[in-house]
Amino acid sequence: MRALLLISTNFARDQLWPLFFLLLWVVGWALFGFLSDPRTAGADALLIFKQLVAYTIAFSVFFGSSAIRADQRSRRILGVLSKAVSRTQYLGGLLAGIALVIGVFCWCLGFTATWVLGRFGFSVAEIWLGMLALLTACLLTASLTLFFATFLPPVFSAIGTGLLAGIPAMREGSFTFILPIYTLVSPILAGEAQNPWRANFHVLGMAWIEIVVLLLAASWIFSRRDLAVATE
Amino acid sequence: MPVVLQYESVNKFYRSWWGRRTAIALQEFSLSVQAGEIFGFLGPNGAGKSTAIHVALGFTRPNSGTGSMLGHRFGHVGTRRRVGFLAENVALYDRPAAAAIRFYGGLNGLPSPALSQAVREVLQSVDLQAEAHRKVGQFSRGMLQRMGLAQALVNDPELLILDEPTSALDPAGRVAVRELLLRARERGKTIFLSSHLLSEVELVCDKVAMLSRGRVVRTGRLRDLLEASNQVEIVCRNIPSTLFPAITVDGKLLRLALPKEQGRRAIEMIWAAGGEIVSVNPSRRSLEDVFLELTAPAASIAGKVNSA
Repeated sequence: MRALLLISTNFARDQLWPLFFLLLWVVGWALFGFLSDPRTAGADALLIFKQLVAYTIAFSVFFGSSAIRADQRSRRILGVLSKAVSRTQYLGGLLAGIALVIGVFCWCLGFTATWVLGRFGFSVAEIWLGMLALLTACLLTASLTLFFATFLPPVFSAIGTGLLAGIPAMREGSFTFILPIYTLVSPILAGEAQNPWRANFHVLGMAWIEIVVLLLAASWIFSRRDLAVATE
Repeated sequence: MPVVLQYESVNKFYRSWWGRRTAIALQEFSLSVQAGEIFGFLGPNGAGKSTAIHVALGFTRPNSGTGSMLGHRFGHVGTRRRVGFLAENVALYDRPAAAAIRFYGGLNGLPSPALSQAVREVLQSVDLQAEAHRKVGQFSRGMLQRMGLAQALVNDPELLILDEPTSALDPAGRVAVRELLLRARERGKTIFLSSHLLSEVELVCDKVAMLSRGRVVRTGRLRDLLEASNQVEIVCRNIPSTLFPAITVDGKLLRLALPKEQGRRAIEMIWAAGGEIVSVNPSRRSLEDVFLELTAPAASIAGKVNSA
């Protein structure tokens, strides 16, 4: 557990700049909400919020696809895995690190949304349920990307994630419970002040189970892969 | 002495993406390292030294063969808590030195109070205590190498696996590392040392194994290896230099190298000629001579490849 915690906080420390840039968007959005007229700018504020939701998903693909490769190319992975750390703990640490970064972002986004969207009539409870759905969707995306990244280069793992996450989006209704990234995020993207999103707790629960399954599958594959090709 | 590291007929080859065999790294590789010794692991570039180390630590899976480290199969997670590893090219996270060592010590499960003490001690032992709050990214290559050693030592390991530990160090740094290794041996630690610096190996190692194209071509005690030539060297004086055809003059001394079985006859001839024997010693070759002799085929092939 301690190793997992150390790897996750270590990963999060390396992502401070991407997190900073993501948070700049939130600050910009907060300024927009502060300076605009609540009677006329509601739709624009909601549009920016939805953009931020989409960016968060994209960033979780970025984090998941590059995490292993960055450590492997720099050979820092040898320093970590030469200690009493299993590959499952290592991957779990990376996923927990992504959860930490995305969690901080979702908290800041939720906090800002409570104030900005609250001015346009959104309920606070719905906003925070939306943040929980977004965090879950991001973690599912990241675990899918990590799974691909155990045997594919980053670009291909990102493409693989895009394809698998995109199929349920194209066949809406058919794959509600299989990789429900779109199912979790689409209500937020379609939400309106008069017609707010509803959290589907069954889908949410299923997504968490799939995160664990993907992590175990990724560990199984990763533990059978050579970490380093001879440098001589 | 118990065996702490053992390879049994390990084979490892690398395949391309399409499954074609591209390189053979280890062939029927067998080796035993006993507790409490400094074991030198030598071989030219591409001989498979790093691959053998990676197999022991579980970074790479062998295609066939088995082995054990500290009594457990290769790759056993818990065993790595008792092992310190320094990779050939040290790569660490860009944190302040003390925080980086804390991180690596923490991964091995060292409890917090003991960890703080261990971090201070290892930074002192590699002479980096003054740089404890400086970021690793600002370190020179030699300092990074010492940081690598510090992270390997932080959990006070029973077995130290060092891949080229002195390659980036200046002479003073090398002496310090040599003393550190000798101190570790005095405390009963086992050190598996892969190095190109034969002079370093000659100074610290008890046993060596030489690797060529993935196979162990010679293993044994360093002393035996260097004395393995069947020759003796006789140093004498006060005889005419024409007494023996292959004699070399070194000031007032005359040196004579000849096969062991002819030694007694030569000594009698010197005495008979009124000469004085100064010393009779088994001829010693340098480790470099032995290394070049045993790895020559691989080196000549590499030469041909390079010149092509």
